[in-house]
Amino acid sequence: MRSLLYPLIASALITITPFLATFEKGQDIVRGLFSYETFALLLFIIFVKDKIQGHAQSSSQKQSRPFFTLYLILLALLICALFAIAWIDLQNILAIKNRNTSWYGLLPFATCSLAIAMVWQIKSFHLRAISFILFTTLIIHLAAQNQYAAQPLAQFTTIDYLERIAPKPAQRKNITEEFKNKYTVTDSVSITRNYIDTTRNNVVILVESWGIPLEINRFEKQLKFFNGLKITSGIHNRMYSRTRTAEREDLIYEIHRDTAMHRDTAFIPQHLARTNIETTYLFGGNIQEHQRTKYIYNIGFKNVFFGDSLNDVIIANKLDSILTDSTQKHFIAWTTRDTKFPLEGFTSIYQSDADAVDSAYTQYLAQTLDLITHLARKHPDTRFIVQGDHNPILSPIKFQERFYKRWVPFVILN
Amino acid sequence: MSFKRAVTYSLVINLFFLALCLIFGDVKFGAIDDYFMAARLTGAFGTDYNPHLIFVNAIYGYALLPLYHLFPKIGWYYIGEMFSVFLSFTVIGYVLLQRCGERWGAILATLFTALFASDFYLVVQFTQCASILSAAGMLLFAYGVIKNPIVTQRQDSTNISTKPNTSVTLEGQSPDRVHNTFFTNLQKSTPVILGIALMLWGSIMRWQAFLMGMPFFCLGMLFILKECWAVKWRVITGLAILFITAFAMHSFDQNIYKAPEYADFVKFQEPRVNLGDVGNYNANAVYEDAEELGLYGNDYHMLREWVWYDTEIFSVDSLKRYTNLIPPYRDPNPLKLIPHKLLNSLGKSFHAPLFWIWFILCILIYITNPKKFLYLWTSLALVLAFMSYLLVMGRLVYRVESGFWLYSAVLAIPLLDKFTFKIHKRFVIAILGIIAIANVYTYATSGNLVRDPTNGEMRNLVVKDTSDFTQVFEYIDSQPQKMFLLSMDAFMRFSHHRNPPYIASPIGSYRRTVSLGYWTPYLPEITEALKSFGISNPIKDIVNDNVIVLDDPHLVDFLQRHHYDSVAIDTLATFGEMSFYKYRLVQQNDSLSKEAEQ
Repeated sequence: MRSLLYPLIASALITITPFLATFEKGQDIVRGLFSYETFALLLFIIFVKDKIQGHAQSSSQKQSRPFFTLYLILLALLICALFAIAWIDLQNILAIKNRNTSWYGLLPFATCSLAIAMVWQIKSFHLRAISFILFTTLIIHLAAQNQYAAQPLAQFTTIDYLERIAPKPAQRKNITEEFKNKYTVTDSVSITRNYIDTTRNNVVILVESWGIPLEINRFEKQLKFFNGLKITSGIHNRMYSRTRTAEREDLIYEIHRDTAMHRDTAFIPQHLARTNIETTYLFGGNIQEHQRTKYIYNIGFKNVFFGDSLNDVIIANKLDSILTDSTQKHFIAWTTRDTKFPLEGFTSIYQSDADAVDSAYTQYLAQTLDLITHLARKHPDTRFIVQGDHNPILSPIKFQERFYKRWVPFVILN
Repeated sequence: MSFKRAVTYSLVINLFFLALCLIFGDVKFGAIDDYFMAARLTGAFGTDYNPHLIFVNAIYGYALLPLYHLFPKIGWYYIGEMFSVFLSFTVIGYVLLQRCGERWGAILATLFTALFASDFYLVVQFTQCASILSAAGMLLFAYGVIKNPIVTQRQDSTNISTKPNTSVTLEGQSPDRVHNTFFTNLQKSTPVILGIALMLWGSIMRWQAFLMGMPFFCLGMLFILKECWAVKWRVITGLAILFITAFAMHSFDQNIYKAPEYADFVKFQEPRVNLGDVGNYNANAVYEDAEELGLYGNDYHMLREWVWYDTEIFSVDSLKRYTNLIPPYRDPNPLKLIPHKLLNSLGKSFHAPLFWIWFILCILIYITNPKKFLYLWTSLALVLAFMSYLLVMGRLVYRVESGFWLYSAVLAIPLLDKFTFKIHKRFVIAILGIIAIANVYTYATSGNLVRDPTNGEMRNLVVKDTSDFTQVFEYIDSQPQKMFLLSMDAFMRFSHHRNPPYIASPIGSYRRTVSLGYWTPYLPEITEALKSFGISNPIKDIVNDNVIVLDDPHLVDFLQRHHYDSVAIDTLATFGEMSFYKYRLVQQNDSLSKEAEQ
């Protein structure tokens, strides 16, 4: 019985001491009573120690010398492993509590030395019995955990360690404080409606695949294109990463229910149709793309223009020529397409090199933002409302992971 | 213990539990796949018996055909599966009785059957049949090897010593004695031969389950290597026959589906599995990428709901455009997290009765035959290795996991040695009585509860459904000129109401009810049936006059998106949750005139 209890108590000592040493009032850390690995190691240490003692007593025989050295090496290895496990165990708990090693680093040496001293006089089990004990301990631990999960019996230090150091995907869902301190971050879906100014020309630009990079510097660099203009900028949330949704969402005037409680949406162009403002929709791609045939006419534009595959420069020129017409006021919506994925020149959607895709994307986006800046400079009396439709999708996953999910920038110029 | 006595004991135990299951349980297939394979076998989809069972080797179908011809009303497929479970249990019980003696053996065999009966008889399905058959086969094989190794060894040595004058001995032997040696040899080989037969049957029921058992079989044989060596020729011949026959039968089955009539069906399986069965990926990201690519997110939703019998829009090539988007979004599974997940799933295994049988047997090995104690760790390691493989694939389900425990538990039995601890007969009877009474009680009160084959939770197999299916079937039968297209859900519910598993689905009984989903689309007889109603593309031809839809009112958008300008839907009849619908084209002129009227 002593042979079983002493190693158990010794391993509990190694496991519980760092827990107690770092204990704070109100903490809620689920932790086993003893480390399974240290328990196993202690049982083996006793076993090897007994072997060595046995050899030492019958040292006269020459044959046993190689075995004697082998056992000594084994014992040294086991003791090293014990220290290592105790050290990892300590680091695990310090990682949970976000603390540095400092004086706690002494704990494993103290507890392990004490543990070895405790079990040194114990008689060893047979190897089969050790195996059996470890096997049943594992099963008892798991069975007990199924019954009462709040206090596990054993602690699996190495498994916890592996879990701790496993690569964790970057957090892409919530905008960090760093952004929040610098920019307006909102859930609003009515950016366009809030910033539209019916006393002058309005241009609503939806920039394809313009998302919020995880690195704030990269975002700041993008905003530098608009330097010298009167600018309001921020970040807003999208429900879906779909161009089609964004295109409609940005033009919503109001959502109301009729008497039968059916939901109906009124769009800004429909609303403006009652005034004498000329409404125009521009898109450089085909009308079939994203099934625009199905909805674009219902939104209420007076003029609709589709290219077949015209790039952003041509559409920007067209927009420019419309704005030069000063005979009447304009409301223009433009969805860009140069930054649409899969980008030109990349044959594979997901397998292309993420860095190559990134640099191409950065370049295309810079060109489009530059075009917008030029337009805004040329027409200082026109209000420009620029938004991203969604973060980059349909591209190599590594590249996608450089952007927040479902967050896009909005920029109000002039 | 005598052969007769052990068999009788084992039969009595198993008959008792079979009776409990049949009386108190809910007699159903554990998987709807089994029901429809049986239906295919009895020609329900077409006009004649069809033994090609898709997931089960066609040999099973061919073997059952004579029975169907003799008694066409009986569901032999189901009875065959139940019998395979019964046979396997009886074999395992028999070996337990032989290995552990009358008293301990009776307790263990009863415990074994008690813990497994519900999981197998009441959720009977081909995968589990394959596992239990293979497991029983392996056990019998191993038992045949270890049965009387010492006696055989002695015989071998006498043979060797008498080798130089073998001919003399043979001549000296009376014909009767030669016959006797042959007979005793055969008798000795019987367990091995029967074991091979059971394993082969297992491989027929499900090839993968049989293969999955092989590493466990190897492990079990490794632990009785010495005994194997003593009868090495028997073992080698046995294994050679086993593998050659198994692979031959498997390739025979695979070749059936290489026929041109199955070409469409076979091509369709890969996208079907990817869209219908695979779930461990970010479906929302796939949806958005599909939209961004100019595909239809709503079509992708339909496909995920198993609505895909449109031969044009959902042709294999166009489905590939969707399935190609899936692999990049598979859930990441870092190797470093595997040990943690493994420990968790090991903890969950404790809910499986099979785990406890394995554990008890391991303890018994340690007590009776401590030399083989390593089996505890090696079998555990093998199970964990399989589990981590499945975890990486994200497909660890209860029925597969319990298969691992089954194999490692059953293969522990040959390693048991004599029980030295005597137990009083009255005590045995008391234990058996308690087990029997407890089981009668639980089956009587909750016999219809079974473990879900996917997650292992207790539930009953009854689908909550207020519809009166006799009315539904009457409605269908009253219109013999119509073809009915069903949602997969309705189709699957039919399996619970059309006929119980022990009655055969009559020929042609499903001919006019074709599912829009499931794995039945593109089966040759279904294509044929549709053709005879003038339907070449089911979803598109849904607007034909002779087509009625059951339980799928959501196709209007799809039809307008891809096939027609304007489609309307009328409800023809409703019975509980089941509604019959008629899709029809709306003529532009109609709508214009209506507008004019208004």
